[in-house]
Amino acid sequence: MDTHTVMKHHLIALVPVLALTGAAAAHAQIIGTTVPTAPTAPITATYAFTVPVAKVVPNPCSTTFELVSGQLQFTIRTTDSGASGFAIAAEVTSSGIGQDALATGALVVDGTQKPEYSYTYASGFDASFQKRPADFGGTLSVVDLPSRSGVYGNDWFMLRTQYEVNFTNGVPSVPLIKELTVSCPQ
Amino acid sequence: MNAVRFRYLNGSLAAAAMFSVLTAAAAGAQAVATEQQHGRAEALQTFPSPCTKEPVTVETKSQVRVKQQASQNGSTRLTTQIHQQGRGIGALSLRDYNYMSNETTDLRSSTPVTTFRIRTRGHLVCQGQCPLYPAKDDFFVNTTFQCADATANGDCVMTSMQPADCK
Repeated sequence: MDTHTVMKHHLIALVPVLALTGAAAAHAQIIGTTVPTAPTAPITATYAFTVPVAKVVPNPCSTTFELVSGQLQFTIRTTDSGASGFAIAAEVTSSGIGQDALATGALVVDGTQKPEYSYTYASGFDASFQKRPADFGGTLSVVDLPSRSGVYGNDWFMLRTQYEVNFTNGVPSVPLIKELTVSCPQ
Repeated sequence: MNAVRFRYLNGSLAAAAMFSVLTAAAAGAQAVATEQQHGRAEALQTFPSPCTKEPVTVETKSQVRVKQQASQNGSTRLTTQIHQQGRGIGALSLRDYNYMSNETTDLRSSTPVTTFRIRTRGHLVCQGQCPLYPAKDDFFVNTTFQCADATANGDCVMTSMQPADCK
């Protein structure tokens, strides 16, 4: 298996969407008397990020190059249940295409190009904690399998995208693409 | 049709102790604890190919490496490496399928992680006499691993495997 590290690429863009629901902690106090309050409802927040990907990579199964263009979409939901704990649920979808290109990124248009590669991927993770962490994060990866269409369906390779996601006091920052690697599994 | 059989071969060895250590570290203990687990799991499942609807029986072998490290300040580092491979066979056509999936995570947290669940997607590649066009008989399966859970003794355990889309 021939593996090439082709990119160390920092974050590109984002489309943030934030929605907050639930009730904040409530403490009602009257002078001289403390009134018991109802249990705190969980507070949920949903964040969405779109990170585009565009890079020329060597085709690991041939001697050509491919212009990979696509995006990673992150949908992250946090649930803060106060003393009952904190939870993170993240969905990650990856999609894109690969087009025959020169090493410069210029597309091959002389008639020798084959149908483009396409790929989609969906993954995710959940994590729970006894309390909201001040700091949480790390690196994860998605493995795409771009393949050509039609009669070229047996022509495919592996595209691994490593990304980093971090949470500060339960709030995620924009995920960063750390590395793209390609390999030929055949 | 959706028969599932999970067999866990070699589970955790000191995982229960690991959680005790992590809890102690979170409470301010001075010791730095590192626990590493190696596990192997096998699964046998039959489900319809999303490409041809033919029942395919898939046998997978998973190798899991989990490492949790608690530091003096109470933070936790959780790394997982999951490697899966296996084969499938079509009930009617007797077509062979190869299966593989790899997943690596490296996470840190200022608070001990109670549970961690990761969803991956593997690729079943039809071998030999397979239809290529218009329907190519390769498809994906979604697999869920539950890690760092008290009931799983801190190891990663495959909890589900379901067919996804036709490639």
